[in-house]
This record gives sequence, C-alpha cells and structure tokens, in this order.
Amino acid sequence: MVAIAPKARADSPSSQEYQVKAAFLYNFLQFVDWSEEKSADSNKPITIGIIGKDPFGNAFEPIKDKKVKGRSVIIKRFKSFEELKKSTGKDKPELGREIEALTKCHLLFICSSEQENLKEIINSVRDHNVLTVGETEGFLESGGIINCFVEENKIRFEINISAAERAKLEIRSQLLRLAKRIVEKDASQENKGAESSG
Amino acid sequence: MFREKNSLIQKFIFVLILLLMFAPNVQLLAQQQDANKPKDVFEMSLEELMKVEIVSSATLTKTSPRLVPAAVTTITAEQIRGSGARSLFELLDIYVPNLQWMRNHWEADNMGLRGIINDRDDKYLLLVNGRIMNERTHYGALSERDLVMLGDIHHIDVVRGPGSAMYGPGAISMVINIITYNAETFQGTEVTSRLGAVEEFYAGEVKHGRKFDSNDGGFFVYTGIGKYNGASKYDAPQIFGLDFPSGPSGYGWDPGWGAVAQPPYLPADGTRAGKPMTGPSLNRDGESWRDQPPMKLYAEITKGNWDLWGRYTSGGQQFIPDIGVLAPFPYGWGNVGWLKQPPLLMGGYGYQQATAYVGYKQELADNLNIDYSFSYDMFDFERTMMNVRIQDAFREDTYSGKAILHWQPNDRHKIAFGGELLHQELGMNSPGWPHLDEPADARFNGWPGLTKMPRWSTNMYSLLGEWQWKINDKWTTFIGGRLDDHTFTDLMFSPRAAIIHMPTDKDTFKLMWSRSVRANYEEDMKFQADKGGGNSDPEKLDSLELRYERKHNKNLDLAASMFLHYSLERIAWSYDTYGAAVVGTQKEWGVELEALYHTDRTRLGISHGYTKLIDFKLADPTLQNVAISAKPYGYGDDLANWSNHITKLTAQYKLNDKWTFDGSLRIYWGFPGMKDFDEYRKNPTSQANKNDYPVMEPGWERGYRGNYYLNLGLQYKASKDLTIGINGYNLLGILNKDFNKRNYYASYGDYRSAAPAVGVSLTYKF
Repeated sequence: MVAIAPKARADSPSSQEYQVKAAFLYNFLQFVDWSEEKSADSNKPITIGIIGKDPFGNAFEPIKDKKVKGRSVIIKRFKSFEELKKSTGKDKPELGREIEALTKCHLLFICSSEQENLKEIINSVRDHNVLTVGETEGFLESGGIINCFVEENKIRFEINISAAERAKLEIRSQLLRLAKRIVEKDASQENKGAESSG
Repeated sequence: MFREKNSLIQKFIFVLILLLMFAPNVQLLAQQQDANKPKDVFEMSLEELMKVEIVSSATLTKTSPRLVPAAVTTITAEQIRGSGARSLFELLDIYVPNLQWMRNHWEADNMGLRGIINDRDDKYLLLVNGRIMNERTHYGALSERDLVMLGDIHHIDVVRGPGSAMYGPGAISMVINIITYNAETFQGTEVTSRLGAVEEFYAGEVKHGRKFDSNDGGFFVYTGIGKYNGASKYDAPQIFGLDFPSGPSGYGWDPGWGAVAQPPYLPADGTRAGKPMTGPSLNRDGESWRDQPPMKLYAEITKGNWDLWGRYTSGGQQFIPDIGVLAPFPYGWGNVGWLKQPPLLMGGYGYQQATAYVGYKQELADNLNIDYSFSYDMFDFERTMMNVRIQDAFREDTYSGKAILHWQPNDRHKIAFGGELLHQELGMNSPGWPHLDEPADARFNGWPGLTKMPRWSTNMYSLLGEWQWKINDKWTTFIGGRLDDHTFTDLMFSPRAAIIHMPTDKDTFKLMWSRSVRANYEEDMKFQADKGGGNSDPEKLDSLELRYERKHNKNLDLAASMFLHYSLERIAWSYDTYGAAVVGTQKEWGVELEALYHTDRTRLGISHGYTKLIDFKLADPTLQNVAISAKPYGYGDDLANWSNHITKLTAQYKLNDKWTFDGSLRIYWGFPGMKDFDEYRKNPTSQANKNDYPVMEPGWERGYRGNYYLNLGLQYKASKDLTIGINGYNLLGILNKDFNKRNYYASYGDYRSAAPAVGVSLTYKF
C-alpha cells in the first residue's frame, strides 16, 4: 500500500514496510509448528514478542480480532536487552524472569536496534522452542531462524533450518519454498565448535 | 473583472469551509461503511505480500505500485552511494530514462525529460518529502540540484511524465520527489567524508537518528557542508566553434558604445575553433558560487501522527557567458568597454532556501483519514553576469496550507479530495547576498516606470480530487483532476484519466491521458499585469501515454512506454520579446524501453529513450528567434536542444561480502536539431541573424556529435561499521575529452567537456 506525499509520516515507506513485515510475521505463525509443550493448550494465545525499539507502531492492530490455528494472537513488547540487564542487574533473579518471559514467546522479533546483543538474545532462547525473527545482516549466522530484509523495495526472507531444528520447530515446505535463501548448516554452531576446540 | 475574480475566490473558500465542516461528520459515514471494510495486508497470502512494494507513488488515492498510472523511477540510497554521484544532476542523469542534462551560459544548468527542456527549469517540480521546493519568481526547480551532499536522501521517486493533476501547476515534464531519511529509516550516527580530485570537491556529512522510548516517533538530524572547486580549464576544456581573432586588428570598428579591444581579458588570443579556450578569466568547471560552501541542514521530528521538519540549503554555481559576450565585435560584445573589469568572464547563480513543514494525519476511521499540512518557505536568489552586473537579487516567501481527505468505502473504490491555499510574498530584499539595497530583477530593468523590481504578492486557490475504481481483478481506473486559480491567471484545469489492465500475473498495461498546466514565472505575470496586459496565459500540455510492464520472471523486469505530447502550448523566453510567454505549440512523440535484471549479487539496468518532434507552430509568425526548433523556419524537423536518442546502462555487482562494483554509461547519441538551428542562425538572410551573428566556422560539426559518460566505482566494506569507496567519473575522457562534452542550451554548437575525475568516500557508522 502506498500513498502520495505530502503526507504525515504515518504513510512513509518505512511504516509501510513494517505494516507488511507485521503481516509476514502473522503468516509465519501459520507455517511453523511448535512442540507439544507450546501448542497443547489451545485456549492460550500465541505470543509474538518484540524486543528492542519497536518499529511496528500500531501495525499489529488489525490482528486483535484474528486467530491463528484457532488461537488468538497477542503482542508482548520487551525493552532492549541492555536495558533489561541494567534495570534488573546481571545475574539477578529479575533478569532471569525477563528472559523466561522471552522464552515463553512463540515468535520473538529481534529489532535492528538489538544488533549488538543479537547473539546473547538468541542464545537465551535458542533451546526453548522460540521462532526467532530478525531484520539484520548476519542474523542467520548468529543463530537466528528467519531473517527479513528488503530487496528491490520488497520484503524477502531467509531461513536457517539448522537453527529451527535445534529449537524443535517444524517449518512447513510452503514457507521454505518462498525463502530467498536457506541455510542448512548452522554457522553459529560451527563457530562455537571452533572456539571451544581452539 | 476583479469582481468576477473575487467571486470565484469566494466560491473556493466556500467549498473549503464546507470540506472542513464535513470533516467531523465523516466518522459517522465511516461507521456506516464498517461492514464493508477493504482487504488489509493481514488477509494477504505470503505470495501476495512478497509482491508488495514499499515505495511512494503518483496517485492521490492509495494504490499498489503495479497500479500506479505513471512511469516511476525510484533511486535508492544504495544506488546513490554506489554511483558516487556529485550532484542531483549527475545522479538523475545516470538513473532516469530519457532524462537529459545541459549546461547554460546565462542560467543554472538545465534538466529535461522526453524532449521538454527549457532555459530555466520551470517544466518540472522538485519536491522534498512531498513539499514543492521550486522557486517561482524567475527560475523554477533550482535548489538541491547542485549540492554534492546527498547523504540525507533515503530514496528519490521520479514520476516521468506530466502530473499537475496530482502535484499542481508546474509538473509538465516530470516530478522529482526526494524522500529524506527519518527516525524510522535511520537510527544511530553516521559520518561521511568525501573528496574529489581533478574535479575538486570536499564534503562532510553527519546524520543521527533516534526513536523515542515511547516508540511513537523519533527525531532525525543531518548536517552537510562542502566545498566545490571544480575542474580546471585544461581538464574541463571549453570549446567554441569559432576562430577567435588574435588581436584587435581588423576589429577596431567602434559601434559607438566603447568597443575597444582589451587583452588579456578578451579571448582574442588566436584560439582556433575546436581548441580549448585558455583565456585567463575562464573559471573552473562546477566551481561554487562566490566560493561559498554548499550547505544542507535538515531536522525532523515525528510523533504519533505529527510530522515536523525544517530544511536549509545554500548553493549555486558559476557558469561562463556565451560566445556573444566573449567574442569581439562584430561577433559579440567582447571588446565593449563595460566588459573589461576582471574577472571578466565569470557569471553564476546563488541561492539559499529555508523551509519549515508541519504535517498531521487525522485518522477518523480505518478507511477514512485527512492529511493536513502547512509549510513556510523562504527562497533567496541571486544571479550575476560578467561579474559586474547583478541580474537578479531577491527573496520570495511562500505560505502553503493543504488538506486532503482519503476515503476507501470498500475494496473497489478509493476517493481523495482536498484543497490547497498558497500565498506568496514577492520582490523582497535579498538577505543573504548583500550587494543591493533593494531587490533587482533584469525582467524589470529598463522598462518605463519599472526600473527596479517591485514588491507584490499573489495567491493560488486549488481544489483536487481523485477516484480510483477497481472494476475487477484485471481492470482498474483512475479519474481525477485539479483546479487552480492564481492571482494572475484564469482558472487552470488539470484533469487526468487512466485505465490499468492486468491480464496475467506478469503483464500490466496502462493507458494514461492528462492535461498538465503551469503558470508563467511570477516576474513575467507581474510585468504583464502592470503593463495592463491582464491575466497571463498558462502553459498547457495534453498528453497520452501507453505503458506496458512485465515481470518476466523473478530476475527480469521489462517496461515500454509510448508517449504522445499532442499539444504543448509552450512558454519560453524569446529574443523577440525579451520575455517569457507562450511562443508556440509543440508536438512530439517518443518511446522508452527499460529492462532490469537483478539477482542476489547483480543488478543490470538498460534504458533507451527516443523522442521525435512532430511539429512546432509559432504562436506568432513574427517570432523569429524561438530556440526550441528550427522547423518553423524551414530547417530540419528536430528539437533544437535535445538528443533524439538517449541510452543509459547501470550495473552493480557484489563480488563478495566486502567488495561491490558499480558502473554506468550514458549516451546522448547526437543533436541534429541543434545543428539545424545553428544553420538557420548562420543564414545571413534569417531573422535570427539580425540579433545573433554567425559564430561558427563553416563545417563546424563537433558540437552536435554524441556525448558518452562512463563512470566506474568500487566499494569496500572494511568492517560492519566502515565503508570505503572510490569512483571514477567520465573516464572515456581519458581517451578523448570530446566524449565527455556537455552541450549548452540554445547556444552555438559550443560545449564544455566534463573532466575525467576521481572521488573517494569514507563512511563510518557508530
């Protein structure tokens, strides 16, 4: 959806970008299957977490009334990882609780403002059946599962299958078919191996 | 007459008041439509979402890019960086199909599209974030174009073709809309430093963007400052088609106004036709006006539905007067006494512009909103000739208010309707160029009772609307228009209609018809009114375009446009009247072909534009020196200032994660119409010859041949924060400087070649 200028910034290409990205996230929910533990209770909503400086604005408003796999969807916003650490104190129980909240999400969108803390965030949720989605260069290489990017003014995405398998997520073929790039080897694991052996 | 005018204005105001009264009640209307809401992005499949483009477009109503009823070229920040472009002129010349850039001996450089080019850039609109930045008294789109600092630009949309139904009077040939970065598109701090050798320049840029913690907006600030020394007369040679005499001998005839040869300021140094002129006063090519640093400042705050920004630009360039000034009598005035002050040959223009903008989007319902905007603009302009004569020095202030209602009653219909008010204060003192105590303008010099520029004001009242109707999945129509009433014109009407047909997923056909208008320069309209000449006739272009776009596969996009300007009632300056007015009716047609191949690593683009004059009929047969085409005078059938064929190639190849290669080649294939016009001028019996002496040697051809510009660049990403770039410009000139020639508008087959040059850049993001 596009609009003419002069206009308020609500119609800027950037907000259009995040309206479309929000719809992508909504679609991802339909093509990813979570483990029994996270999908057992059909009364519980599906949670999309957003960590960092939220660029979506009110882009998720329309999903209030929508359901995915028969479940409603809620949006949960988190401060930046740095601020979480500052406000709770490293290694303190409050931080543990915040991280636990991250692990409860079904999908965690890691905003570009979190580039510095990418690996730390991903490592915090990597074994907790969380679909991590990012929008930064090197996201897959850092262990993230789906990375969105803009190419030729259109949103594209790429998938790290190894990271999805490690997170015990099943990504359906319909989604894999549309990915611009599929990473089958987990570079982050390789690096980790190299570091520990070296 | 004035009673009628006031009555019309009252009607406009009445309609606008109605509109505002209507606004609070539209909520109710929207509620009635809730049951029939349009499809949103959350109802789209992934396949559909992947087709959604994130660009702005050329409609009042919202639409998808595939449906946009226009040919639009979008230039991204990545392309700007890769090209290493040193000005908007260069950038647009590289990327926009069928766009041509020319030099000018009397004014700033000119750009044109599809055969429509003028000695002042009044035929297109230049916008920043949707606000028109054109100067209106004398020139047109002037600011921004010469500035070497381009780091604040997120992308540029160039709407190719007429668009005054959408953008207002002035959008005759195209609309250039610069979209800056803002807090949503840039966060953090970035510093860029650039410098150029051979064509010397220096530029420093800093930008910083940050979102508010409340996540409902943010701020963005940008500062850019530079220094442009340009290229020497040896690297960027000026070539005339005339053998200059080697001294005063034989040219001692004094017409009685002080014609005395004055070496060394005169180029009467024996320079032969086709040889570089090396006279001591020839300025450097592209040198900043008065050596003042070009400057650009920008700040923007967004908060919720509010958008506030302010912008300041300062720039200008030097140019060299034409052969009539340089050559001694009888060819020119070069040995006239009043031209002998050093540095004799220098001319140029300077400007500064300060703009403030406030926008607000009122969301009344999911399918109903109103965009409001208010802006203020100060434009300060100066132009001199021969360094001793101030042609123009004035300030104009513009106040603009706009409200547009967008309503989408259902999936099939979208409606936009609004109004705009424009108030201008004109003829004010120039604040930044303190050379005069009062405003100056050559237009008013020497006319009885108008020895200096007066102070005056004008208003324009506008109504605009568009209805988009999606008949079914394959057919969509657009019908819209705009009414503008200016103090010095009759009512101007710009209608537009388009039909879009999408027979398959891959193919789109667009048929577009429009009338675009432009009011004359404010100075000319004021001059005419003060002389008792009544309202000024606007420029009018009636055009038709058929466009075909094909997404051949995921890597290849193809497009073809065929346009017909079947009536352009053309405003231009004429020697005959020494003023700007409708001088004739121009008709032309053309074809544009485009192909873009893109993969993960590669982007290859090619375009070719062909434009051909059909006819040019003079408004008055006594006009004998209208430099648009020599066809009315019996010489050829081409446009005098246009290359009929223009080809452009661009390439980008990502060698790996670190290295990216960029290249571009632009070819203007030749200027047959320019040669025709000069042949007409050379004819001793022609009327033009009475005003302009023939200033080309017999058989002079070089000036009309093709121009070829090759740029190559390499970017190296040293780390995730640091990028280093190197660009080579106009590299074919290493082989032969004539390859890089750039012609002058309405000159005498002379040209100045752009220097083969190099530039480096360093960008660090904190």
